[in-house]
Amino acid sequence: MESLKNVIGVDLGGTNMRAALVKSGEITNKSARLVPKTDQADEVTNALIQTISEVFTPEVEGIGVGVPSLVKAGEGIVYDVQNIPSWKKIHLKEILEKAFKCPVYVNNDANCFAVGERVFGAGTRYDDFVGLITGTGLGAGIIKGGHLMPDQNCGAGEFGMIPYLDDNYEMYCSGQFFGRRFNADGGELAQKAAQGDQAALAAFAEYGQHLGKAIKTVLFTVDPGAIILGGSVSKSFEFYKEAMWQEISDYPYGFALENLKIVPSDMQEVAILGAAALCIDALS
Amino acid sequence: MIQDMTLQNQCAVGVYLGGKNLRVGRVRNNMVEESLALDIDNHEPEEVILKAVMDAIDKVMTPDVGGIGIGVPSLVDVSKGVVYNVEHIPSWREVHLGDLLSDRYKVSVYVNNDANCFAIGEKYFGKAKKYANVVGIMTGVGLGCGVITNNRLYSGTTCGAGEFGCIPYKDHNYEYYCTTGYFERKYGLKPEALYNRAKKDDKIALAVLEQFGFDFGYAIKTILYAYDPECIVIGGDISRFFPFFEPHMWKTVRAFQYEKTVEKLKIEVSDHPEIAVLGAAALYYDAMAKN
Repeated sequence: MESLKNVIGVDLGGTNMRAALVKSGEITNKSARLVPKTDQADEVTNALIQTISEVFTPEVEGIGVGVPSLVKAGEGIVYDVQNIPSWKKIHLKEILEKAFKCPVYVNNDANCFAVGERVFGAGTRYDDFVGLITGTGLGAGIIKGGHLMPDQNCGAGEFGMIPYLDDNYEMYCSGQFFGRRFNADGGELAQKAAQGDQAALAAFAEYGQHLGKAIKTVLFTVDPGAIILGGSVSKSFEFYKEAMWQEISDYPYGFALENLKIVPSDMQEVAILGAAALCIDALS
Repeated sequence: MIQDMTLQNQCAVGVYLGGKNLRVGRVRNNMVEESLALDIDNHEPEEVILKAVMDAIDKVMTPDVGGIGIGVPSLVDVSKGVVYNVEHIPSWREVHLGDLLSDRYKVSVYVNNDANCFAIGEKYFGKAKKYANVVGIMTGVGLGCGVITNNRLYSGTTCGAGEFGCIPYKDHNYEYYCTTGYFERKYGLKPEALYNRAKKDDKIALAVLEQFGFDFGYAIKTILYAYDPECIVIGGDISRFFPFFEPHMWKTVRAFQYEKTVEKLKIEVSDHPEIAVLGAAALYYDAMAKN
């Protein structure tokens, strides 16, 4: 089946909304605006339509949207979107299809990340992998047999919510860990670690240990061939990878580890490209 | 989504090897049309047990059998049909079951672990027929899960998917808290005794099962976070306790933070007496099904 050549990828975060025209995997035109701070759901919807129309052209064959929320995938209904309080239940697919007269695919941001890696990134090498985002939160998308694994409400892969120590994995394996544990910003710690600062390196080693525990949970549940790490913390992969692998090494099914690959994402604009990739995944 | 049932006019043999217990059956038109169950000595050498399995298959094998499915409580290399360190059968450390049986019977052979067989069996023949995304939980002495996504069995890269029992919980893991062994470890109660007391509305027994339901609810929540299925089917020895712990389990599950996930969730108990054989046979139907 021919994959779509002209698609729009939309990254709807809590603060910014961004849309881009994507042709054969390249972003050719971009637009962005702040998410309006309002209690009117329509204002947010209209701003989104405006943002998309700034990059829309008649050749566009589909629109993919990544949203930080639960999504009823087939119907494209989004529920209780993080940081957009007015969006309790929005028929986003229907609204955008009416506005743009082309197929629209909606999914959560972690699933978009995984599909983006599958179509455009390191995931092209693996048919079964987990895309694990370590940013503000901890979430994952599961790719099975080359495609996004279907579920009920796009709620699969929420490993961050699984109980861990006194809280859950998200608190120990996302960027929040550095603020809570060291009262420091992960980005600043990374700069210090790059200069050989021992305390910063120790902080990443501690992080790597927790992430290793989360990864073992991924292995126990999904048993993927590879894990691709995304999000801001994955940029510090070289500082924590040793501690992470050390923690994973006692996984009881040793032969699962023999071929397991854990790599950081090297994609730019993976959120937008991932949303664009939703169209390509859905139609191939 | 309703699966294409026509394929099931095809005939398959299902084999379940659970330590001392061997069950073999021929499945056609969604039914076990011929079967046998026998005890084996699980301490016999590899070849002796293998011969017992083959002798049993011989008895139900007919020329129109399209494939053989086998469920074994062990690590399995699904693509090669190799089982490793089979539980309760010390001599079976590495047995190339797939090759051995396909050489003998000249049909395709599908080997998988017992929890995966249970899940695909429930999908084809049991409580999960109507659902595309399902998790089957086998709980008795151990806790293992099989995962169905998009109507197909998902075994993972090394047949290790669904090992929710190994995930840390409190000071141990879910297997410690959510299997029948917990009653004895924690309270010194044999499962049988606990069951009888619960039936008589014994307050202590009911309190034990209330706590159990609370912990089991956490295991369910972990499954929801990982797979967001439409239906969860519970099988194994824990099933008979379900009426006692069900309300307490739901109390925990309903506190799940994504209410959409729980709204339509079905949690069922397996009630098919022949699910072990049917599930093994379903490996064949699953392999034949087109995505």
